[in-house]
Amino acid sequence: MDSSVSIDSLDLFRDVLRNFQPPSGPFDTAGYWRHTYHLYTVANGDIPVPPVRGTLQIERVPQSAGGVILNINYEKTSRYAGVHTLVAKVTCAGDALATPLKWTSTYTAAPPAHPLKMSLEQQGSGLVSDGALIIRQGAVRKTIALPLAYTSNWALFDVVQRLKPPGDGALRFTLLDDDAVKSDQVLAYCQTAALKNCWPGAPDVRVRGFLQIGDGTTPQTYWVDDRGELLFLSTGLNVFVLDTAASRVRPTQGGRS
Amino acid sequence: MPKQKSPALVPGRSHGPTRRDVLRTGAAAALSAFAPGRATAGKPVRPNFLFILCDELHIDALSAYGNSHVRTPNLDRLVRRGTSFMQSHSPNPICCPARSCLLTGRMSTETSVTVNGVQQLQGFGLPSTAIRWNHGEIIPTIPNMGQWFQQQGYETVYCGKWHLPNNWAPNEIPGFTVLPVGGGEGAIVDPSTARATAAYLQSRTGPDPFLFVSSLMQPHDICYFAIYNQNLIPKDLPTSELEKLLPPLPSNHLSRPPAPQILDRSIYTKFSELQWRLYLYTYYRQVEMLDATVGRIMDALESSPHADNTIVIFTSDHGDGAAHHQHIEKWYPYDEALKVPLVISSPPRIESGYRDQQHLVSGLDIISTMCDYAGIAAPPNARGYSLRPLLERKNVEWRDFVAAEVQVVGRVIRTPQYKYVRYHGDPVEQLFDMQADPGETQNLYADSRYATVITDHRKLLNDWERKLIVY
Repeated sequence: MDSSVSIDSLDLFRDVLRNFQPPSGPFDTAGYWRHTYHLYTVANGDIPVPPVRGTLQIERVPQSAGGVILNINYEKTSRYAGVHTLVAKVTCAGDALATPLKWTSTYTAAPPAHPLKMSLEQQGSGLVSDGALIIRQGAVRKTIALPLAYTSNWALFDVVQRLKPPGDGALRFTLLDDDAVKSDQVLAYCQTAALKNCWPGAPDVRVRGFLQIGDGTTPQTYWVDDRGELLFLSTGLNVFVLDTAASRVRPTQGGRS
Repeated sequence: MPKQKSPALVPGRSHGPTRRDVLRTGAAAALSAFAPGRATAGKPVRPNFLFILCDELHIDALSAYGNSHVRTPNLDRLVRRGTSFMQSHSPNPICCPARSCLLTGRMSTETSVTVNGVQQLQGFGLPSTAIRWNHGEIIPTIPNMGQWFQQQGYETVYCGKWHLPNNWAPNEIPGFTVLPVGGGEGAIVDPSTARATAAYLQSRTGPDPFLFVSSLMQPHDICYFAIYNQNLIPKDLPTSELEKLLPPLPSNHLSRPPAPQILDRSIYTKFSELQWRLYLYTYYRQVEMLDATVGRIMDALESSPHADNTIVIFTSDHGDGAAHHQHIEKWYPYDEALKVPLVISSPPRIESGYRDQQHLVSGLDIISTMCDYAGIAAPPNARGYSLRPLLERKNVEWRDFVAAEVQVVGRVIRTPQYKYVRYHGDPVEQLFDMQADPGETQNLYADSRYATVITDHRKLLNDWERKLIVY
C-alpha cells in the first residue's frame, strides 16, 4: 500500500527535490546505464537549500561473457576547501549482489599544486583469489577470508534497481565500503510512497524504499521508481539525487563491451 | 576576520603550575633517548607524532572497553597497541574550546575560545569586557602545537576539522601546512581525511621529524542527526530488522539530579524511548564509521617507513550525551561528555594493551607529553603534565585533580573520588561521589555531611583559577 505520510529521510531535502525531474521511458535494470547523482548534505546548517557537495557518476556496462563492469567517478568538495576524487573500475559477477570480483581505484586527496610538493594520490585494488579477498590500498595489503555473501557500496547502486518489493525479502551481506569491510548488513524493502502526496511541490513519482542497516552504516534508504531506476539515496543527513538530464540508458557508442 | 600573527615563540618552562615539578617536562629532558636508533650524524632521532583527533567520542563507546553494542575493531587495535588512560578528561566538553585546549595546553578562558562562535556568548549575561578577543581563534600570544613544533624543526601538517574558528581557508592555520580537506559532515569528509593522511604517511620523505594532526569528524554527525532529525525520527521502526539491534538506554537515562539552570535547560525531552534508542543506535554506527577511518590511517602508518618512530596519540575533543541524563550532544560536565578516550602508542617503547585506571589526566597533558618525547620544552604556561612517566610505568607522585570549563561560566574539579561542578552566578552546585555513584545520579551538594568536601573542592577550584592567565 502506498504511504502518503512523510518520508522521513527525504523530508530535509524537499527544497532540493522540488525541481527534480523524474525520468521516463524504458529502463532496463539489467542493461547499460550511466547515472549521475549529486550529493547534498544538511550538515552544518546548510538548509533549506544545501549546496552540492559532490557528484557521482556511475556506469553499468554488461559484459558479453556475463557479469558487469561498474565505472565510478566520484568527486567531493569539502565544506571549506579541496576537491577529492575517486575513479574506480569494478568487475562484478552477474548475480543479485553484483559481487565484486576485482577492482582498481585511484584516489586523489588534493589538487596537484599542493604546498607539500608530494603526491597525495593513492592507488587501490582488489582481487578474489583462492577463496580470499586481497585488498590493496597504497602500500597496505590485506587478505581476508571471502565472505559468504558480499558486495560493495558502489555495487549497491546497481543491486537495488533489481530488487522487487516485498517478495525478495532481505538481502544479507558483508559490505566493502571502499577498502573497509563492514559486516552484518541487511537490505530490506521498507516503504512505497507517492512523493506528490508527501509535501507540497514534491515531484510526481511513486517510489519504493529499501533500507540498509549494518555495522558502520547509518540507516540509509535507496529509493527507486516503478521502473526500478534509483532516484535517491538518503541517510537523513545527506542525499544523492539523480540528475535525470545528465544520465543515460544507452552507451554513447559501441553498445555493450 | 583578522588573521593571527605568529607569536614570539620562546621556549619556556614546561608547565605553568608550580607543583610537582618532577612530573614536568623541561629542557633537561631534551633529547632523552626516546629514539629507536640514532641518525647517521650521531644525533638522536626525534620521534614523529601522529595525532588522531576525533569528535564527540564517549569513552564508553568502544568495544575494547566493554561496550557490546558497537564494534570497533580498529580502535580496539589501537587500545591493544598502546596505553589507555581510563580517567581521561576533556578540558572543555565543547568543540572549539576543547580544541583550543588540546592544541595549546591552556584552559579555554586563557585561549579566549570559550564557546563555539561569538554569537553563542550571548545569553550568558556577560559584560562586554568578557568578550575582548573572541573571534573563535586562539589568542595570538599563545602558540598552538603546530607553531611550537614547527619552531623546533618539525614538519607540521594538519588535515581535517579545525574549527578555530569555524570558517577558515586552506593554509591559514598558523604553524601548520594544511592539507585541504576541511570539516563538515564526517560521513563525507572523513574518508578523504584518512586518504590524505595515508598518502602523506606513505609518500613523505625528508630529514625532519613530523607532527601530523589527522582531525576526524565522526561521530560528530550525531549532532546533525539530533538537530535536523528531531522531528523526523520515525515513531515506528522502518523495519523489524532494527528492533533487535537497538541498544538499551543507560541506567541513568532518566536521572535528573539538582543542577544549575544552564544544565537543566539542556535536558532533551522530545524523544520517545524508541527514538532515544534509535539515536543511540545511530551514534554507535557513526562510531563504527570513525573506526573504519582510523583503521585506514593505522594501516597506512604501519605499512609506511615511519611505523617504528611515530608516536600515535588518539583522543576526542569531548564525548556525547548518548542518552545519559536525557542528553544529546555535549555542553555539560557529566562524564558522558567530559570523559574521552586517550590512547598513546609506540610499541615497544610504550606498553601495549595497558589500561591506566588510576591517574586523572586531561587533554591539556597531550602537548606536554609530546614535548617531553620530542626533547623540547613545553610552551610557556602550559597547564598539563607530561604523561611520559605514566606511560613508562614510573612510580611518580601525580596530580590531585583535573579541571574543566564548560559553557563559559561552568567549572569542574574532578578529584579521585568526587566531581565538583559550579556555574558562576548559579546558586546550585553539584557534588558527585564518582566511586559510589559513577552515573552521577545523586547530587550531594546539599547534604551537610559533605560540607567539608565541598569547601575543599571550592578551594581547589579557586586556587586553580587564580593561576590562570585569563584573557
